[in-house]
Amino acid sequence: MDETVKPLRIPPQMSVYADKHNIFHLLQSIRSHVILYSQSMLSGLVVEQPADPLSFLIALLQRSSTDIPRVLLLGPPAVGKHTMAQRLSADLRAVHVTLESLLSDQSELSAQARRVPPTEPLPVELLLRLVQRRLGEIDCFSRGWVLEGIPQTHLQALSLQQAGVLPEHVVMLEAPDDVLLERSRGKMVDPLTGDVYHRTFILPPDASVARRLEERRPAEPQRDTALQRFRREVPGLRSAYQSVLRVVNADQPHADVYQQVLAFVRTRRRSRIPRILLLGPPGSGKSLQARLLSEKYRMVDVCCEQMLRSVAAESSALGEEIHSYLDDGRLVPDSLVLQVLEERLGRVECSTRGWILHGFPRDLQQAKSLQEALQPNRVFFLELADDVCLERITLRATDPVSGERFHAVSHPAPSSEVQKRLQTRPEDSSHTVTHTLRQYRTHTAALQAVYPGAGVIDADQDPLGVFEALQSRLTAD
Amino acid sequence: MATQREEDAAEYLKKHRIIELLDNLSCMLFFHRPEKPREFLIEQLEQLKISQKTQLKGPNLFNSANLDAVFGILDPADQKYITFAQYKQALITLGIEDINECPEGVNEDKISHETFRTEAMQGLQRRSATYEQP
Repeated sequence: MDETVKPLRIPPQMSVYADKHNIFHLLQSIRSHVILYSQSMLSGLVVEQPADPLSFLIALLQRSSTDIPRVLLLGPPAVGKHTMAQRLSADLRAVHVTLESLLSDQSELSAQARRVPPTEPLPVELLLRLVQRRLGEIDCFSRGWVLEGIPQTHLQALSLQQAGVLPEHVVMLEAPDDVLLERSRGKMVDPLTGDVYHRTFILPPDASVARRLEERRPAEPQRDTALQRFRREVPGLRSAYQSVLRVVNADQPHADVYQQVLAFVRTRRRSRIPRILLLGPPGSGKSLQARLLSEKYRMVDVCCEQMLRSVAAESSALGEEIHSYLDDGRLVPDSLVLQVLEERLGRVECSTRGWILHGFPRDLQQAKSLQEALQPNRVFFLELADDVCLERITLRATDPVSGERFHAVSHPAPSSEVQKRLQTRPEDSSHTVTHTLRQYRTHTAALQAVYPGAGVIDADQDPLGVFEALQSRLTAD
Repeated sequence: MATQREEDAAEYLKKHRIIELLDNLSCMLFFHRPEKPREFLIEQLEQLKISQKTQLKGPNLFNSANLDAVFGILDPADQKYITFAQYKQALITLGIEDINECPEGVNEDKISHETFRTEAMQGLQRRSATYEQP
């Protein structure tokens, strides 16, 4: 490697800026493997291929935001799509588009569609043109849309995607067959508004509406075919929309279902580069979890202590300084640590893959300096009671012959011969651990104040459990 | 085997120099880090449209002061000339492609300040002209 070439450093301010304004979604890097968002610049260009790309981009950027709702609401018959879609489009102020509304206007296309017998699915071409035309109208264009019950087949889904109709969120409602049966038996419709009610579960708000209601019970064989047809298409639909799909259990009180759907639809797609802080008392499993997370999500695992030691081993001026501190057993001063940290985390691989840091910060001052320079976007506190911490560490031992590490309780030595040889590290002595633990406890409250949105994970379980907990917090928005 | 649609898309991107356009826009964004990225991008695109019509210089991160500074670094003894190797390396570092291999003064291996600046400006202009070339 050419020593005269300095390693490329990407200032961490760039990642922070990109995160804040969701730049990558806006620009849509060509390195992403599937183009799914027609609102962003690159994929908009590739799909539409306008003759004047500059004007097209200007118009796209001038639209008020990329956050207009584009939702597909799918599910088996009688699961509650219509009510859900109506409520959703009202709350989101988007246009509610149903198959019926597509078929009911005055155009030639709709007339053609109406001629198709209701038991057969619409020909793909026809459906595509109807949907495209409707979604291209000015109200859908500016307010967004909630498409109910379309597409119904995998083929329709693919054609829609090819034509550039790309939803940001796809909700699939699910319920067991007997629940659907129950619901469809009692289905009542208000002929004036099209609202759906149920004889037992969803009663109309007042008597006048109640009087108007008509039973809309589909004939049994038709209902069963419709249900079967839907179930057949589910895997195809799920695979077509897998990265934007959320399946919601509709066999719950309506309010709960709605809350879940609304929360999902409101999440913004972010391609977030992780900048994670893992804090916790000694023995809580920070190093292990950091290693597991960095392996799974391909981010860089930065252990503060190891980082300092490796710098100390270098023959640079900084390395010599740090080495003298470590040799004497003194704490390396904050300014030096931050210097090393900024350099380490400013490297290209950290900027592009993200990082997970543990072993730093330990107190308020360090946390504040870190916040200025490097702004982590996820912070986790691993919680563990003092006695468990002590137990986990002081019972550690290493076999000097094989180099294997053991623990008296969780991973004991295989034979008494090995047992006799075992040695403990000085930093694992109960004296050192108690000291570190006390330090941690005095600063915990201050640290938690610096990171009010931090996740708290119970570390008093097996590592896999902790890992699952961390992962689910990481992937939730 | 690329499908027809993929080929069409690839050709479109190449013809209008879309990737270079988005690269340049990203560079501008990350260098200036404006508070309002959308407005900033719109401004850059408008400027680009104007430069496309008028064939005048488009938006770019480097200006002539930067070029003077680069020349100054390469010629610390103020001899007013740099070697061809220096000239080429500097242009590559500035991100310019298809460098003119035969600038004025190449035979004596003495590229003047003027020549360097002209070649660099033209190269940068080509880089920022990220629209369909006639």
